[in-house]
Amino acid sequence: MTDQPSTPDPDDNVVDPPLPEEETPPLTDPSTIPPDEGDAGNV
Amino acid sequence: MSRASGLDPVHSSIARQRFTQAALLGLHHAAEVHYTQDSRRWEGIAQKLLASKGEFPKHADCSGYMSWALWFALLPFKLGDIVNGQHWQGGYTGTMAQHGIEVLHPPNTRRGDLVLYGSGPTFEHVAGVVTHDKSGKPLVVSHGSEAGPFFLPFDYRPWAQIRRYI
Repeated sequence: MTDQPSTPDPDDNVVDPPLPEEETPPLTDPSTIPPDEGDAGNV
Repeated sequence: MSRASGLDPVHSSIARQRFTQAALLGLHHAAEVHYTQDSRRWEGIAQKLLASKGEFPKHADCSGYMSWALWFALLPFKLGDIVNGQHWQGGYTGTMAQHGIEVLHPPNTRRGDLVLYGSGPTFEHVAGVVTHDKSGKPLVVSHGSEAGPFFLPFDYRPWAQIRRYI
């Protein structure tokens, strides 16, 4: 049995079904991506 | 605890599926989704692009892309702008941080939850949870540069806060 978080979250212990394998893209290696450029703020 | 959106379990499940559909659609067309911080960042919502019809924004920044995915997710339910509180006319990480409810523990994330990065209260980047790996770690779609969107572990960089809107 795993430890439970001390503070409950909304929908605690509710798990979404996994994505179908055919819809799951390969993960990107984080070391290969450029830095995030930030956010524009309000338009 | 009640849901951020007030939707019942069936409708919230539909909304989460719609969010995932939208977020993955741009990911699968990454070469066509350009990164911009100019007014085109909001074109997904401004042009009412429907992921269900294969439509996605060709221009967005991180918050524009995630706002569009949540707008599409919530569209059938006519809840108004519960993500940025700006009638779907605009928004950014700072307005996202002022809405929804916080999820404290990453394993409890669900599809459609947003991960905020950088320093509060306005933060500087956002990505959206679309699934989890076998260990329960959230996996996100992130559009933070011209090369994106990318599919990444949620902790690919230090994260600050997770928020739920659905």
